[in-house]
Amino acid sequence: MFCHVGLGRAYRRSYEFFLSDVITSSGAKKRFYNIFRVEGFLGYPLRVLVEKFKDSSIHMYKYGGRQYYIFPEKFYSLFISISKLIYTLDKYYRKDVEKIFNHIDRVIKLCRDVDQCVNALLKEISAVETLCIKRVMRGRRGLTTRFERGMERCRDVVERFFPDLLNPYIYRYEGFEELEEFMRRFFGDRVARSYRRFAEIHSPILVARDGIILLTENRQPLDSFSIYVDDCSVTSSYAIVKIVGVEMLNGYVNRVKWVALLGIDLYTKQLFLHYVSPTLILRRAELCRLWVLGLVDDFGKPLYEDDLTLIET
Amino acid sequence: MGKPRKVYRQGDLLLVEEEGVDLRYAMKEGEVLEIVSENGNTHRLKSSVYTIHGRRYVVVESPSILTHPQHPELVIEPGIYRVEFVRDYALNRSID
Repeated sequence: MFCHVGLGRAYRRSYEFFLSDVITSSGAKKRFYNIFRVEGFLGYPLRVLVEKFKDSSIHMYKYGGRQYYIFPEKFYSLFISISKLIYTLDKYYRKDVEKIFNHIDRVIKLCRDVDQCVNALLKEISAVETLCIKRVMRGRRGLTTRFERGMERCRDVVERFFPDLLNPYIYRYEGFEELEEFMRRFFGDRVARSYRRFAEIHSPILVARDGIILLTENRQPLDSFSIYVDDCSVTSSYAIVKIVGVEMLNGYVNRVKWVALLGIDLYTKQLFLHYVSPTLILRRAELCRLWVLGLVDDFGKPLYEDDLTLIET
Repeated sequence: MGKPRKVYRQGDLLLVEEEGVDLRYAMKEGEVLEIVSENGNTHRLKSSVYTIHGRRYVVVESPSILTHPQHPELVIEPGIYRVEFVRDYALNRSID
């Protein structure tokens, strides 16, 4: 087996890497690929490797705007490892290509021979993955702490205006048809259908109609599901709480299922619940309310350039 | 700086002030805006109601009162307003 590495003229443009039985350009031209082939955009790191081990290349050819270098089979692990490192760094640096390339440059500079280089790359992959996991865990811990504090801060508002939220009625359903039928008792057809579609992805979900009901599939355990109150606001005409439905893992937030605004109109004494864009997860309840009113976009930026005067009852 | 754009809200109904809307080719719906809310009550405003490009506008010639049995009345200043409703991520578009 031979490793064919094809690099575009503009080396950053793209690359192709595959294993082939043949050493000649038929590998690329007649597509004599074997087992493995990968094509990507971050060609630069492979170029750095090829430059480093150019002396070990046993053949080269040009095809389709790319320069192909052929290496013996023992280079396979090396190229696979660099691909994995690119993937891991892509996550770590959140697609910042310059940082990815600089990091790879640093690692490859330390390479002396193929085996030592493979080891160095594997070690680096493991180190970066550990950093990614630590970062994720830090985020989960931070989010959980924030939600717990929000819950404490807004406990009075919840107990006064939304006591049902602390212990909602749970409706379990077998299938989504049953759920839609149940929802038709409270809402029109279109709203019932929309809630069904939303529940298909985000279940368990809340609905508010006179009281607060948690809807969940029969086979779905609720042990790992929690509802947090992140923020609240009370005025003379309404009381609102921003609530977040989350899936917990090992005591920390693992996945955010939805973000919503639960409120009560103090004139009509009517409860309302509006799901808001999940991009507003870290925003204040009042800003979520402006999103519901269509005055800000999904990131909380005003939708209108000019100043607004909101007059409401 | 121009004068701020007025946005009126009564329950789920919003009236957003619009300037420079050409309603010459809009379809006139009537002289009263009537919107039935989910609980069966009606938001009512005496104004010319137009529809164009799937959007509804009201033209208020003189200060008019927006009424609803469950909400306090709201005085709407003269102007052209786009009729909007509160939105909901789960329902994917405004509730109408």
